[in-house]
Amino acid sequence: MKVPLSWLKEYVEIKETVEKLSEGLLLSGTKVETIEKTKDDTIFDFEITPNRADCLSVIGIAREIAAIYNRKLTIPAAFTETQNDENRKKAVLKVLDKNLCPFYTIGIIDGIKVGGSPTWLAERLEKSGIRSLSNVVDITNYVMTETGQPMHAFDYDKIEGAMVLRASKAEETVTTLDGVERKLPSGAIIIEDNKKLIDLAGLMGGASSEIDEETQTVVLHVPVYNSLSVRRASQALGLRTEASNRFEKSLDPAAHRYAFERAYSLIKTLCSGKLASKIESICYPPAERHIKLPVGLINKTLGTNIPNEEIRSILARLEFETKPEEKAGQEIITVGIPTFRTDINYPIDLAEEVARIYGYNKFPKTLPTGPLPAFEIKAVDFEEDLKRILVSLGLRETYSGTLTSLAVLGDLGIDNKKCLKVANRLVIDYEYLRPTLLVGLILAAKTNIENFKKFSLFEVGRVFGSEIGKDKLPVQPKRIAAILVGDDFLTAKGVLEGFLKKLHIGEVIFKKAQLVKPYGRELASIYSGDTPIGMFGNIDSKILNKFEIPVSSFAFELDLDILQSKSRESHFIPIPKYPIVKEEISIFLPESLTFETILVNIKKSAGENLYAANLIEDTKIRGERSVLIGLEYYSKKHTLDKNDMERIRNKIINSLRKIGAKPRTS
Amino acid sequence: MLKLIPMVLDIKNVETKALKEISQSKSNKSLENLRIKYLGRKSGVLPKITRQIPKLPKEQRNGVGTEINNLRAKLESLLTQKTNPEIATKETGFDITTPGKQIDTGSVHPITTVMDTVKEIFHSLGFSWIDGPEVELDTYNFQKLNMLPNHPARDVQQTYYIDRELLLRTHTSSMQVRYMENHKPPIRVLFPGRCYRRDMPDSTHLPSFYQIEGLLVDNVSQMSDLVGTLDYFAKSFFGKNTKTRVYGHHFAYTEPSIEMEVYYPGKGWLEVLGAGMVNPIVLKNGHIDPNKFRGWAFGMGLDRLALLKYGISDIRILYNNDIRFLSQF
Repeated sequence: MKVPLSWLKEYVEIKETVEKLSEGLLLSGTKVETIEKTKDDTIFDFEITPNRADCLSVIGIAREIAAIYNRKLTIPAAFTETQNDENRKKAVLKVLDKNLCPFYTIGIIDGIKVGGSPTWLAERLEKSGIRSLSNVVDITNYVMTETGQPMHAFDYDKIEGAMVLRASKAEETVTTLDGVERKLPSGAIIIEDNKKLIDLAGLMGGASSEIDEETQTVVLHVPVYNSLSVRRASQALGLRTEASNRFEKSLDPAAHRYAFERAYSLIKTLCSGKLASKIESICYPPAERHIKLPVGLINKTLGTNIPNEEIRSILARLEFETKPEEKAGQEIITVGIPTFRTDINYPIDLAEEVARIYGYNKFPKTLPTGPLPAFEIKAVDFEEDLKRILVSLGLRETYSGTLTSLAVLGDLGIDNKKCLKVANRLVIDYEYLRPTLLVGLILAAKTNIENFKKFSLFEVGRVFGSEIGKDKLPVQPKRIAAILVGDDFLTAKGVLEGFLKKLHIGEVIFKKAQLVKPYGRELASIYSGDTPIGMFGNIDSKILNKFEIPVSSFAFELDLDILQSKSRESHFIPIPKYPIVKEEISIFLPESLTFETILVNIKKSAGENLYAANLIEDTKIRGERSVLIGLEYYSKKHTLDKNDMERIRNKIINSLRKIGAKPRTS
Repeated sequence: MLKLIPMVLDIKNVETKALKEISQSKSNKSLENLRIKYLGRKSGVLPKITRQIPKLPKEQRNGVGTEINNLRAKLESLLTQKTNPEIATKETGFDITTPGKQIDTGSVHPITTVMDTVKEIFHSLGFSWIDGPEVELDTYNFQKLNMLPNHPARDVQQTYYIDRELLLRTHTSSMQVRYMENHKPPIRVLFPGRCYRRDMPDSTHLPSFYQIEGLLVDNVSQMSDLVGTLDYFAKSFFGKNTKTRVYGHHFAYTEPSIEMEVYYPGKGWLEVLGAGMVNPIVLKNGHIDPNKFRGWAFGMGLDRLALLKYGISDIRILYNNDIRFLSQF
């Protein structure tokens, strides 16, 4: 909200420099966004938090300044004229639903001469960011800016019959002051006369009862509307005005009377208007509100040592009335809440009032002294571990956006029907929630392929599906995925195997998997025992082409929670006491046999004598697959001799022969 | 006709043998004999092999010469070193400023580094951490945090909705009541994670970003602990001479509410986090008795911390994944 310094000075003495003043306001909770210096003034733009409707006014800000520096606040005197007995006219407003407009003041002013505003008024409004239109309209805007209470002036002669305030029905239309014909949602507040809608209440006046140069008599209506109704209408219509910004917050239920009187006194002086009816105020004055504050609560909550007198003095500066009482040895203050502080409802709210004026920076800087949670502190962070391992394997961590577009999903061959989607996208680039981390990784590969031939990236994060889980939330598991660009199958698989080994994942098995985009044909499901933990495979070359990646690329994606549940603590295995004996065997493999089967057989047949079995060479000899395997034998009990070796070897060879492999011992 | 493979093997054998003999040799005289044996112009082993090269088939000649030369250099330098150790160290002639081989290393993203640093600082104060859902129920993101439907405070948090009940969480504060429902005080916990705002992307906004939330609830906590803890955090994170200041603010779920700024030389005061005493209404929503327990909470943007720490001016570069950026960390 824009406020000129000169206007503030009318209500409170300001001795501070502009910088000091804005610091003082900031520290107590009124943030100054910008300070604009003009040739004769300084204009502050304040960020007012939504709880402080009272600060959406010059008087509200002046009141804050008065409280911070302990100065006197002087506001313009209220209307003092004795009411006109003649009451020549009568304002008739029927409020059909009291909830829509619980408080208001209304009255008729005639004898008005509409014209331009005096320079001082027009300038003040313009400095506050409001365009000057005509004296009557300017005065309503001026008093709104000054007091925070919006109001509307109708041309009395354009109204036919009684005014009725009610909720709109859907599809009703009204033409507002800006000349726009608006189709209303249901539930907006409107005022109509016998024939037409004359006001989109709380948002903008209707064109049909607009003040113009001919206007002589006005109905001045100063209401407090139901904030939710104004807010909903404002959102539905996409229309925000200075008035709606105030009405949609919790306004002072008593200010309408003062605002009417203030506006009338200006109309009288500047437009030669005269009161032509009674001033009617509904639900005025509102009931007083009190809060019983146990004073001890303040210092206990804040961790401070503010004397009780100072607490009361701070509250008094903020216009809270305080009355001390004693109750069972505990000092209680009954605090009267000023009507403009609709945000103060509980004792804790008063603690904030005291704290912000006392000054947070005067608090002692202490550290927590309470008991520690019995809850086990995570000494090891699985996610951190996992990232460290991937980095040690030469991969770089990436962070991608989780929202993506229909087009990207399409290019990746992913069915968007199974994807979760936001209902109110802002741009098409951010509409679908990623169902796989590969979305971001393939895009990252595209970003880098121009500058690098070969690289590996990974990401840890959530992916999303549309089915709803037990917790009423869509499934959103955390995953770890990597892409290896410009690599071959075995290198990529080696990275994955190294990773799983470092994590101590037990019984890792790769099984050929059904085609799933964006993967290509060399695709495997990865299991730990019987539990699927993820996928590994090449990225389909057609998809790579779409992303302008000209080299073969592989990826894996694993479920983080399952991975964590399968990750074992590392246990020390004693280093063999007796020498390890090494030998190599070559085996011809028929096409039906996988390497996995061979390995399982070797392990089974060699039993506890097997220390290691590694693939050394995998070639084709005359069209037949031939593998060279390095074997390492040992015994926990003694040194293996020639006979032992022979026995182990024969066991292995026999078992391999049984499954159809053809060992060729040298 | 010689074949390449035996010849290469020969070179390997020669090398093994020569190295062994040199290392076993104990006098300068025997070293000189070895020099003649291997490098002697007429009958040395290496010159002999060299003379064979032209006889090789063309396609096999490649590289053999280089290999012999490398071995010659190696043997010469070894012999010199052995004969006269002092001179040798001065005269190797090797340019030690030649850059080493480039080894590809991986890297951790700066957001992770910042997140881990924050976790570690609060870990020292007894905080653990837990992750939570990003697609969240309106009730945990807003209602249980004292922001009922149409509450004006929702305005400052532009929200992506999935449907009437589900949304993309706008802050990690969504975890406060979730956690309180399942844990009794004392509570000290961090909630790191991704959040979403329906903003147009620019240099300071992205539709998704990272936050870390802290929550402490016990029977003795007070606001001065919050202010002290945040100051301790800022000094641990930005450096021990860091100046901080705290000012009043408004969050529906904390009362009183504050924000903290740190002083950045050359830039002035920069806002880094929001915080406050947990609103008794929120404690109640988390099934904790506000008459017995008090608590405080804070939340900060990890992206923003990363920008400040590394002097980055555009948030988008954090999520572009350009290796020229990633490799700097």
